[in-house]
Amino acid sequence: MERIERETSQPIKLQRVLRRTLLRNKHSLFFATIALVLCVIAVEGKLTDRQGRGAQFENPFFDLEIAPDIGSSLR
Amino acid sequence: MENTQQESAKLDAKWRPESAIKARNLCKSYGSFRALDGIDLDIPRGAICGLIGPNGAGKTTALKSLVGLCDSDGELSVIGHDPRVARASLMNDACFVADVGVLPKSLRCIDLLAYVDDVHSKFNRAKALRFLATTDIDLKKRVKTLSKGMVTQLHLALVMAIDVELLILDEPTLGLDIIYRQEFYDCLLTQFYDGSQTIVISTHQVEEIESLLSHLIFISHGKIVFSTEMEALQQRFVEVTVDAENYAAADALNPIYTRATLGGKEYLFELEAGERGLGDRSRFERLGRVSTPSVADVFVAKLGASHG
Amino acid sequence: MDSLAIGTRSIRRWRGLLLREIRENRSLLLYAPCLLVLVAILLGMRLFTLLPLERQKAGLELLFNRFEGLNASVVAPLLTSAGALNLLFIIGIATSYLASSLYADRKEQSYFFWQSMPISDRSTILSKVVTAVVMIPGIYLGVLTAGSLMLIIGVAGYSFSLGVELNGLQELFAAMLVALGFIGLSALVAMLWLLPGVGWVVLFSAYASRVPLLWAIGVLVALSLLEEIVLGSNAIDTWIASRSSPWQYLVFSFEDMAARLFSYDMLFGAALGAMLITGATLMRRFAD
Repeated sequence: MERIERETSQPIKLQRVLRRTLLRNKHSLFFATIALVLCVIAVEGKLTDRQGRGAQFENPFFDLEIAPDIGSSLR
Repeated sequence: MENTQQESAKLDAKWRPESAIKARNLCKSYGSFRALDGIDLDIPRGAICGLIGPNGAGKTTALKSLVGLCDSDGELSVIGHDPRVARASLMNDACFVADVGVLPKSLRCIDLLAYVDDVHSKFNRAKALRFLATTDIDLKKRVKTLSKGMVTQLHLALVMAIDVELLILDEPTLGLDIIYRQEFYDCLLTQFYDGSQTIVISTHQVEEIESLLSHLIFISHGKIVFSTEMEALQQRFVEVTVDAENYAAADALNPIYTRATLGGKEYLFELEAGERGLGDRSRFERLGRVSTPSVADVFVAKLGASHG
Repeated sequence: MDSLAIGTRSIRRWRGLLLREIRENRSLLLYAPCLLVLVAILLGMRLFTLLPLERQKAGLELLFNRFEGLNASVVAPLLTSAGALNLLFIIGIATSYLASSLYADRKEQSYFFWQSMPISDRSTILSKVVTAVVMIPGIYLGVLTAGSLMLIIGVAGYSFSLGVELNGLQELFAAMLVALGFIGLSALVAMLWLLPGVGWVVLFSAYASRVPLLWAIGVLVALSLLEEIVLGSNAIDTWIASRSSPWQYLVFSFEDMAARLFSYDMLFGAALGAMLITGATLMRRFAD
């Protein structure tokens, strides 16, 4: 069978490299995806000096006090 | 993806335009196990091609590679598409039936029809309903309530109502009783195939599909052992039931396979290229009764030869 | 094929994809919301009817008097906050759905049928994301609206039978409708805010060979621990904590919603979600 000569462009070469490394199997893809996302989170946190605000119950829109006498009227 | 599609187009142009499926050095490994080991394929349009092999030969892996359901290495063109990068557009013109048990169990039959009608531009709902009207399937029931045979009928109805160029069937009648199996192949030939489509069927029950095939491929341990057109098979091989007194003479003619039968021994001979189609088989007729071998016999012989 | 035909075909395709999700997951997407809302209403009614009759009457009088003359948009935020539990239900249903979305068809082998259709992996996974982010909140809100209407009618009828004057019924009804609207918007904003979580669960649904949700949670906890032990940093914990305030999930006005949707944190989260969803899309090629 004759060998078919093919021109290989840069995007094709890049695809081949990706297929042999990150897309080799599902495990490599999985770890690559997670690693990428975690790196982005870490770098973003450093750049923006992200602070972990804990659960806060401040309410800028209204007062949580509704009817102070509701408890006594229901007893 | 655009560059890959251009690449695919360049490959396709160098291959015969009448090839439905063309593969070169197709390989697929699962860890250290090589399921496909350098497969070359050239299946012409309009062929009904049987992919025959024992369990674990690589039939399913080969067929899944053809429709992009598993990744593979090597050059591959299926009706002008590379299934690894253009599976969705390939499936507009091709159908794949993996196994009778793959229909989604929780859906109702009517919902399944509605889904295919919505997503497939070449699906003819009226045609599918006409076929289903000849069965006992209650369309309001869920797929999981159907018997195995009914699931086959439902899947077949869906497939036959889609106007495709290529149909790939992976052991479609596995586990079915003989009535459903016969019905399946009858419908395939009478209601679907019109000579322009290409069908590839894999099976290890060779005798069932022998009469349908125009082309034949034997596969074992991930490699193609043998491939031919059915007409050429009949000209290329001779089976002789040899009388006991002629065993030595038969052995001297280098048979590719022998097996004992009640009446004597059966010998299988492969003719040289120059001898095929000449019609002169007198040297075999002197040994005993000459007949055309079955595909199963040729398969066993070729498989034995490939294992050395 | 002209652009109108292409557009029509595309709409039909998406209709088929989304209807498939509803039909395949009827129990989770339709029956579960109905059950949750029904149980919540019945539980509330039962607890209320345990009170003595005089207290029931006093409570109902207070309710209708309080709402009489009130502007719905003033009161609605209170009802929206009270309905925040519904957001938890929606997130729970969506998480359960996403965890099985790419896992179930691999497990039962129907993956080969779905992949034999002319639908790309990207469309398949996008349809599941759209189902989680839009359809599940939409269906739940529909059920909640129907349940709330029946509840208001029931409460009004019961109050009337006790001789309570229904002066504030109109305002209560209006406030409830506005609150339901904001719960719906909150659900949408919450699901968009949770796109990184959506992507995370979808990735594990595509990858795990069993119990994908447990893997998704377990791996996150393990990575957080490992980061602290090995690197001595808390980037993962900090990032999660910075997105965990309850008020980040509730919307009380349209201006608030617009500000949230185009905020840096929302867009950054969406980008992370997109990365994870892309990983899940590529993962489909290894589903055999």
